[in-house]
Amino acid sequence: MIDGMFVFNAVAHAYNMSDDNIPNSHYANRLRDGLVHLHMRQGDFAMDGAGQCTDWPIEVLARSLFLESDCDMAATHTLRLDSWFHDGLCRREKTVEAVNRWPQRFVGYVGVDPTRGLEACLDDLDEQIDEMPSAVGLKLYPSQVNPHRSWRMDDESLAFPLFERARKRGIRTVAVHKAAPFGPVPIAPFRVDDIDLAADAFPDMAFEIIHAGLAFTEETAMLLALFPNVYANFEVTSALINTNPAQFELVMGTFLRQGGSEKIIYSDGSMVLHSQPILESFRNYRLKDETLERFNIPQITDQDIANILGLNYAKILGVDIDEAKAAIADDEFARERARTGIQEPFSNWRKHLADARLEVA
Amino acid sequence: MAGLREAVEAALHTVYDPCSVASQSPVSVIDMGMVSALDVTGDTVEIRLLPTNLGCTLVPSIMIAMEEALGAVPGIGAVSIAIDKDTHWSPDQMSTRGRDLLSHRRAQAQAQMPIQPKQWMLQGQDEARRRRLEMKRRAS
Repeated sequence: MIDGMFVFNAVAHAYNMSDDNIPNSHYANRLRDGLVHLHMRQGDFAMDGAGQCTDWPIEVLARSLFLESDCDMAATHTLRLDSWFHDGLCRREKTVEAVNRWPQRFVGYVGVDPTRGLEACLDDLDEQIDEMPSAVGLKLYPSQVNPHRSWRMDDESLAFPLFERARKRGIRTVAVHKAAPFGPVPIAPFRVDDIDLAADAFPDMAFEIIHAGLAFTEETAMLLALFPNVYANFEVTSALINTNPAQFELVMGTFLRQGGSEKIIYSDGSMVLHSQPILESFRNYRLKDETLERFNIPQITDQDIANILGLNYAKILGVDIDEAKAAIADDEFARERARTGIQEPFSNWRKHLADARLEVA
Repeated sequence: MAGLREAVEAALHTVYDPCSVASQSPVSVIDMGMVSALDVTGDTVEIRLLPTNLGCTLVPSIMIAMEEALGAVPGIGAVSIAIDKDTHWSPDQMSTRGRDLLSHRRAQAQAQMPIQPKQWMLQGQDEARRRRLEMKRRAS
């Protein structure tokens, strides 16, 4: 918690960025380089390339989140970037391990690749939910490479039956990666013009636009304004508060005017980005006077910040905040944190790499 | 080399920000304010490219497009393009022409589909949504 506000980080991953996980493809290499670059821009505490290009254990993710930051809970996703990384970048075993070892701290998303076709997707979805019955969300990517292929969220013959099955199996929210193309690939699948019909057809499910605001901000704001069940998920977008404050201000002004603080979900994508520097900046974030005038909106309040940091996402998932607080009050992370205080950013990752005798500068 | 500088700027005006193209409002890298420095000395050209976005994965493609456009300029020598990591891009860096173009396109779009802020929570919306969900439940 930060100043008594419950922090529910809606996207956290333990990537596998090791050489063994990269196919011989310039798309894969460029994406990994892009992620390394993204990580290194956040500050002096960042890991170097060699440290990042390893298989990140789920335990290190958990320790980074709950010992090095004020995050109280987090969602972790099974990723299906199958044509970029052999294991999709974050394999399902890690998601299952997280929710089984620390159910009081993690919620899990299953992940399928719709470019494989409906039958394969439904079988995959059922298998993953059988394995992780507590799954709350479905994570999707809009395209794959080698060869280039994509699908749309408003496809009634592919996406809708998939959402139908997910809903039947208890999935509450669909998170789709948008607004951040993976290198020199077709941009169209990363636009947000296919969310509207899906949100309208499945009004009792939530739809999270992941990386909302990195591009197509105006179009995303329209969706937030129009559809009660569409949300802006701030994975990576949240880092702009420190790395590009002007763009962050623009995105916040646009989304607050059109959607309101109830439609923004905090996340950061830890561990590619560290939560704590972002949380500390966001806790005291206030809009500039010229932004208030430009967008004709009131100043952001502590209630708005609390909504964004955790209340909105907890509401989507049906998580009772008081029960969640009680469940983590005396768990292994709370006890260690009470003993050591907040730990240094990525200190647990560095210790893991040192223990594994990997060379880290 | 005023003539060469003008030719270089004209060439860069033919290179478009990929996201603006995807938004169906193409704006050149010059008008987007993505060229934060341009130095022409003799026939040598040095450019600083300012990405609009943290971790933009299209930077290499933009650089390639710039090099290809400049390669067609007569009399040009060595071209070097470096990423400007010291400056934060914001809409304030756009040219007047770029801002006018985008505001015109937005006004057009909003005229076609007027959207009210927080339309999802306007008076009566909650009740309308509840009725609609109930109707769908009955139907299924």
